[in-house]
Amino acid sequence: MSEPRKRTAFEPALRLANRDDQPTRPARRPTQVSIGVVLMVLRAVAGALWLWSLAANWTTLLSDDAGVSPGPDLSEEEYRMVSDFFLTLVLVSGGVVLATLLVFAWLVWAGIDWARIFTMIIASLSVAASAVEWVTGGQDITLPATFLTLSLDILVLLALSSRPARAWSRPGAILPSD
Amino acid sequence: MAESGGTGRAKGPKRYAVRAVLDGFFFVYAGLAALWLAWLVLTESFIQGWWGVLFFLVFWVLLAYLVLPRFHRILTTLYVPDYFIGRTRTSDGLLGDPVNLAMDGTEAQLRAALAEAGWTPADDVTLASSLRIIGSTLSRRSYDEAPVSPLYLFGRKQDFAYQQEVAGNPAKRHHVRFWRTPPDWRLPGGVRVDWLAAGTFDRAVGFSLFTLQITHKIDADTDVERDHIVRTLDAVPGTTVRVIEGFASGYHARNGGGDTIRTDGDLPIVDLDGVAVGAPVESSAGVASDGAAA
Repeated sequence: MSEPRKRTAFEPALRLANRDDQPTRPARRPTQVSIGVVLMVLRAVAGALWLWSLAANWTTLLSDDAGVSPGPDLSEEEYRMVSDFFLTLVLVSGGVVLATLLVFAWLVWAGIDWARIFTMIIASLSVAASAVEWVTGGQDITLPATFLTLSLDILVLLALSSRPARAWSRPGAILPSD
Repeated sequence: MAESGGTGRAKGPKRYAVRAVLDGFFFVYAGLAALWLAWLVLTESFIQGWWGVLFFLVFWVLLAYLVLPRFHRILTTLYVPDYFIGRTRTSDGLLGDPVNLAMDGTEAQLRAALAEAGWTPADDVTLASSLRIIGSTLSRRSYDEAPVSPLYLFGRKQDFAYQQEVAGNPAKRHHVRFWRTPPDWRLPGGVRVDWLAAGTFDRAVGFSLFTLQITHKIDADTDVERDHIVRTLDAVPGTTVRVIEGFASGYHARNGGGDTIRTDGDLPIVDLDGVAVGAPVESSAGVASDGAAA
């Protein structure tokens, strides 16, 4: 008679991470995924509003925050050129980021798992950055715009990390040990 | 232990292991982040005057529907047994209503017997049905097919649920959820049954003790409800009832909403073998208003 195989006295941590995954994809897209995608789109809208307000206050921002204004060193024409160049640069790069966000929202909607993971990585980095600034006292979270984007990031993170979202985006994720 | 490492370069399952770890990390991280968000909202509610009331509501919604469920899910994954212990689990992993009934028979026989015994199938939980149960509860309007919340057994939601409204008030109702048992699965002790069920009596609407969510509160004496269900089914021709005495006793304390539970631990098994499928559907008078322990 062979010796009975003993079970481990504790659960491997990896098994814990994985134990709720389902072998088959649920028939319907879970609400958590839909909500997550809607929040990502709202996040893009919030970003677009932020860019718009930046463009509207561009001249003030340049003189107050960056200390750039036409004067003895900088002719009116040169100032306009520099100002337009940097505004275009900021708007275009911001637009690219927002467009990427929308593409990822669509990929998450379609159930692409790496897009979901990547979105969560970016959102968690953004939340961590806000948290660090909040702790060190550098940032006033109560500013409506900051508070809005932070809330959206956290809610996106919650929705996309939920078990239904995971099971739907990555069906059949069973560890080799199972 | 060794085989579950995520360091391998092989494609396929091992790559999933890395993602599973990331998922686990984000699951906890998002919970902590949400807790922080709730804190930020709460501190806002102290300084905003009348707007503070709105912020406090937002704080409660965040806490009850996002933060606490997430933390309960993390903790119950760690400490609640994942095998059959005669209890259902809520969607947050908390121990839910006790499993207090079993049936033998096909789904058609079960549904026919329930219809004849005066039970109404519950609607699925959708946005429309959720709004309707909230509206009808507030206005005390009857909603006979009101949805029931999902409870989990064998890792899955109930297959279906039946209920009987009491006195036209959606806050009070008899209700019972059914799960088909996995093939070849046996109760502890070796008895084979086709269905397991959890029947409880909703006595009011209130706050859950564990998540602070608004939910139905159940009557503590679950045996009264169990016996009510058995009595209604027993009246249907073709059914026989046998009882495993003392099947589950000793560990019942609270359900997933924090309501106390008392039971003698008996498990009645309703054998539906003789139920004719396609029998005329008519509810036996007087059953629906029986009002167990109302």
